[in-house]
Amino acid sequence: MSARSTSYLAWFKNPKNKDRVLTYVFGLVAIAGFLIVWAVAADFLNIVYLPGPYEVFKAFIASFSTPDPSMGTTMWQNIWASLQRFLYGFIIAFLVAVPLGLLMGFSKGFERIAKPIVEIFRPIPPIAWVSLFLVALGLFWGPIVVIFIGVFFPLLSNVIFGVKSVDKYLIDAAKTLGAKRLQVFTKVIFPSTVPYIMTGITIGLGIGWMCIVAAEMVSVVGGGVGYYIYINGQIGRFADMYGGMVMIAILGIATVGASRFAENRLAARMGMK
Amino acid sequence: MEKKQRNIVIAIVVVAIVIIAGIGVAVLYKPSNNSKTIYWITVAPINQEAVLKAGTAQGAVGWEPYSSAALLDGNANLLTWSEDVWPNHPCCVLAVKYDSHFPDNATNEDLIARIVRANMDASNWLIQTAATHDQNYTALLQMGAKFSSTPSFPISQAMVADALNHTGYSNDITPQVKGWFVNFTNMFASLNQLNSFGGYSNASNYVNAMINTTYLQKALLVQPSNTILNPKQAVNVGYLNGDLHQFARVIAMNKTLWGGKTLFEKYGVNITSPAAFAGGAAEMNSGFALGIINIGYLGAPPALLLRANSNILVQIVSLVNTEGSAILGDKAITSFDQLVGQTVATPGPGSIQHLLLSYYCQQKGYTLKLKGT
Repeated sequence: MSARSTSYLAWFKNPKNKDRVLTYVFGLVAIAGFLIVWAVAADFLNIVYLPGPYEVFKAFIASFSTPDPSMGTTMWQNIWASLQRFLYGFIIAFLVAVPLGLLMGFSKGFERIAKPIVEIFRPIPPIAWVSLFLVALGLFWGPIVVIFIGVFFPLLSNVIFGVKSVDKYLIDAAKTLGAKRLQVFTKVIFPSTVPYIMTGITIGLGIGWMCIVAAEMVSVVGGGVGYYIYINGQIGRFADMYGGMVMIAILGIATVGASRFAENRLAARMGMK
Repeated sequence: MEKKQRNIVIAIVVVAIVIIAGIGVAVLYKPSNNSKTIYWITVAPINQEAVLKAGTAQGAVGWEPYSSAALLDGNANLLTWSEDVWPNHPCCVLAVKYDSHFPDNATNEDLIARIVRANMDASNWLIQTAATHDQNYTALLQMGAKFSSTPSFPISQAMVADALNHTGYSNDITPQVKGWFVNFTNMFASLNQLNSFGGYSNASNYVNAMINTTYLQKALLVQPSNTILNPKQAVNVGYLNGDLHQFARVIAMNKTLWGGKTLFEKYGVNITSPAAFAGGAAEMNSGFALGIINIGYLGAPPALLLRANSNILVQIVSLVNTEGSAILGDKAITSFDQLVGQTVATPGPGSIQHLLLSYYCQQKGYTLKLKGT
């Protein structure tokens, strides 16, 4: 056996590396299996609502170079439009949910005031707000606020949970050392909550992409992947519609993956993992 | 950082740079400035007046009575009626779809013929009343106002009267009507919105396969019935919310006019309407495709487009109305040319109104694009 293959074998025998390789291999096998099942089902059922993976792939690739006949936009333009809306909605949700969550977790009195209002609005799905926001806020801010609603509540919940999960002994130790209330918050509570904030961001990103179609389906300015899915579904161009769904999946995986990577790195650095 | 992790980070950064560069090129590259562009956004006709008032759009194309409502409220200027662009064009139709729950047998065909007859009688009553302004005219306007109004957007009798001046009601599928259906199909094909002619070689063969005029003939032979012929299983009828193009259905459902029964009951048919639909595409995709409705009132263009694209095998059995749409400008817009660079609210691609706007823009030498693109 060559020196190189010996070194690969030794690398593979490391349980951590082996686990990682097997995760990727099984993941690829699962995706391949899904594509095969999809192709067989499409062929067997032979209905317009379920085009096969190859048809969807062709439509998906073509969408980047050929403007959509209804919208006149390429997929690049739709991605850019959706990304802008998504980022605006996400950033505003972050700027509101994190301070509010820290306050609600830290201050019992504030929690007593804010919690009933939060609990009233939490169960209402973002899609229910679409028509109202469009009329009230217009074509630019309407979809952004729908995404804000989708991201806000999971992020808020995680921040509150993070604050309440701080080890009481750490707080007591800080107080014993003479820390004032604000110092306890800035030196103990807030740093301990950061990993929970990152978890909330990861969850919020996923939900935000789920809200994109709802946010864009009524009307938008400048296109969008969600609107692309909706319009093509409306006029029966199903291969294109599925292509749009694939794009949402890719964008979701990319952003959530990046967030999860950052979350793991931060947790490791802070000794949480 | 371990070498492996550093490589992963570098790979992610490189991919991100490529994606951002690609998006940047696509967005920053602008074709030569086209000063002859009109932009569109999707807004349901019932909301179009509010959108004009708010300045979100400077033009609108919708169906009656919402066009007349915006004009009489003083929130819009008329740019053109659809009848001036396409004289005598057909608009809404009655379409039926048979499936395993509502099979194509003699009994169901008879029920459909009776529904067509009820629609025919209602249309004739509507045409006569609107033309003669007889003792039923006020009742007619009240029915229309009640049907099309919502608490947020009330419709007055004057608006209904104006709408009736611009909407025709007719049931016959003449060769001219068929010709229009072929035109609509070809327009969708030229816009690349049509996947195929539904398995037929051209639009004409496709339309011929879709139209079934036998029900109009059978309807003339139908007699009233003292008993309901389908007491256990109602025929599910779809229609569009507030759309006065389908006024005949509203009249047919009025028990006061027909001696304590609806016109459908007079002809022995038990019908129910599960829901009103927001547009023709929704009626096709949610109503017919899911089997929620068996027969429906909807625009001919969405029926033509989605039968071909989605294989929802509806048959057009009767015409319902002609004309009845308008292109409007806001208070500052008095000619279509002033809409260049501005935004027009439409019910969306697939609707006859959007098709009308596309056609009119093309005739005038303008390009129609989604707002923001």
